[in-house]
This record gives sequence, C-alpha cells and structure tokens, in this order.
Amino acid sequence: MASHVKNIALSRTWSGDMDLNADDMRLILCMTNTTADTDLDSDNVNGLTLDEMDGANYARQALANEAVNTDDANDRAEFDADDVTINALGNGARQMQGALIYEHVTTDADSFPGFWVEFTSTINPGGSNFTISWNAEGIAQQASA
Amino acid sequence: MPHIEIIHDKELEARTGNRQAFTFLVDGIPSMRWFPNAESKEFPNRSADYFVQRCVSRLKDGRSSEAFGNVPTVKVGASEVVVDANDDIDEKKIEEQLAQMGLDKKAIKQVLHVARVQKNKGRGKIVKNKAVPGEVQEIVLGSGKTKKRAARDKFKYVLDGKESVGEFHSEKEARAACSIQAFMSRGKLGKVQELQEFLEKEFPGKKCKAFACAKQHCIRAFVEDKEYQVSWIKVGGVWSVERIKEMI
Repeated sequence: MASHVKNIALSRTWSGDMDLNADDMRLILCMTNTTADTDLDSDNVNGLTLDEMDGANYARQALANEAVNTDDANDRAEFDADDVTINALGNGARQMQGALIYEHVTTDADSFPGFWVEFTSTINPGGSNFTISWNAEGIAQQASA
Repeated sequence: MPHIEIIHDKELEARTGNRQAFTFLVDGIPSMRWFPNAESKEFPNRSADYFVQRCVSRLKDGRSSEAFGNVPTVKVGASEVVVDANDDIDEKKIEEQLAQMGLDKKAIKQVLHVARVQKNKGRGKIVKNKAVPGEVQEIVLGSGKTKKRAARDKFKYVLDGKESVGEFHSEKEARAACSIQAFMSRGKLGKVQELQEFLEKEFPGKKCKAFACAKQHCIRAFVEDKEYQVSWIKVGGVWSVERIKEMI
C-alpha cells in the first residue's frame, strides 16, 4: 500500500492531542513482513506487526526539527523534519519496506502510529550509511478536500 | 538561478498571533507556502528562518517530488544504483549492474518495475545534450581574455512537456532550476493564466487581472478594479476554476 496517514493520527491532530511540532515523533524502519503498510486502523503501535529492522547499528530515530507548514497553492498542510541518517546500517533478516513515524509515549502500548512512508523499492542497506531524504514537499500532507 | 527572497511577516505574526509567518518569493512571485518561526529557547542555535531555509535548500538541491516524483535509491554494500525518473534509463544496463551486485531476479524485477512507474511520476525530467567530440568552444575569462577549450555537455530540463529556454552547465543546476520551476507552478499557482483567460472570456473587452498575491497567499481576480472571489475545484488531481463571485 502507498504511503498514508493513520486514522488515529488524523483524529488526534484534529482534537489537538497530537502536536506534530512539539510531541516526541520517532521513526521505525520496518521490514517486508510488517502490517504497518496495510493497517490504518490500529490505535497504538503495539497493535501493528512491525517486523522492525534487526540489522547491525539499527535503532529507532527521533525526528529533528519538525515543522508543520501551510501550502496555500495546494490547499493542504505539510509535515516536515530533517533528513534521517543511520550510519553503517547492516542488513536485516529481510529487506526494509518503509518507515513508520509515530508519536512516542513511554511504550509501544501507549504510543500512537502517525504515518506510513513506503520506500519506492525494498532495500538492503548492506552496511552503508542509510539516509532517508525528505523532499521540499515534506514527509506527509493533509489536504482540505 | 531564480532570485529567492525570504520574508518574515512580523506584522501578521503580531496581529494574529499566528506561528506561520515566514515565506519566500521567487523572482518576486509568492511561493504560497507558510512556515513557522523557528526561534526557540530550547534550540538557541536554530535561526528563526530555519524551516523556510530548509525548504529552499532542498529545492536548490533538486529535491522536489513535484518535479521528479520519488527517486528510489537502492544501496547494496558499498555500491549504489540510483534509478532516476528520466526517460532515458537503460533497463538492460541497470539489470546487468544489479545482477553484478548480487540482487536476485525478484529484486531486480521490482526495481525495474518501480523505475518504469516512477518515469510517469513527477512533471519534469533532465535532458543532456552531449558535446560533439572535437567541438571547441570559446570562453571569456574573468580578466576579459578569451580561451578555447573542448566543448562540454549541456543540460536542459523538460517540465510538463516544455523544454527550458536556458541551458545549464551541470545536471545539478538543471535539476535545481526544474525543481524551483515545478514548485512555483504547483497546484493553483500554475493556473493563474487559466484564471486570466476565464476572466477575459466572462468579461470580454473589460480590464481583467489575475495574479498570485504576496500578502494574502492566494490567487486574486480583478475585473475593472473590482475584486472577484475565485472558487477552485480539483478534478483528477488538477485544479481548475469552478466559478467566480463579485466581492461586495
């Protein structure tokens, strides 16, 4: 499934409970057995089968310099952050399929899934520095209609 | 390279208490993008215009999904294959390269499928005009003297099927120019001309003006100096003018 916003993130941003600028937003790399790419409904991170990356030097990454920007040309809001780099990332048991960005609260049972970002092809990092480069249009968008 | 000017609308910030007060103009035209003020005690080394600068530097780096779609990068060991969204990908060459890196047939098939799909995403592509072997060009040095050297490859970009007027010395410059042009013609910003034609058709013979307003960050329409509200509709991912209404 393509990149998307989780239902719980939509409702929590509208209610003001999830502040993308101020909350602890983190990134999990998921391998090909994950359900994070198809499950939009789970309210907590532990409700997903993460199939989290298990390669050498992997750790969950905290996003830095998050910002929500307004795009008047496209009638939408955009969520953005600094590029993410994991140095010397070893191969996992399976190839990586994408990244889950979530609102971290203590444990996975208390944390809320935010966005699923699908890589355009599954990837084995092979010990290289692995960088996710967001583009000028940001990580995720929410349109008015 | 277009001139980019960053604006901090302090008056708007003070008046509305709105966090979003940074924006930028490209050759005087508003980008129609608002960014928060990044100044914070928590991050004393972060400048107030950090977020808008990040966006501008990504555009100057040629990183725009509007222009090029998502560019997949497959990294295997120390080697890297960048499968670009340009039309001139050599599928056979990429297949051989990936096989040499040890990718299995299923993975190669997946990468090529993505490359073909990505060819149709993004509105732009880069065209390389190779220098003719033996061709010589004359260049002017800073001192005013001229010098002859072997001609180098030139680059252009194609956006929405139209080739750029200017030529660029490097692919990076061409990608940056294409990214900025795609960004500045995205969404409704690229439909100002369509709105102008709509007004001229609705009010033949009258003075019509459609433009992107730097202050209000919207497309505005005037007929005989009277403002009209524009209602836009998006059909199949493309914006168009639905109707206009005189503002009282």
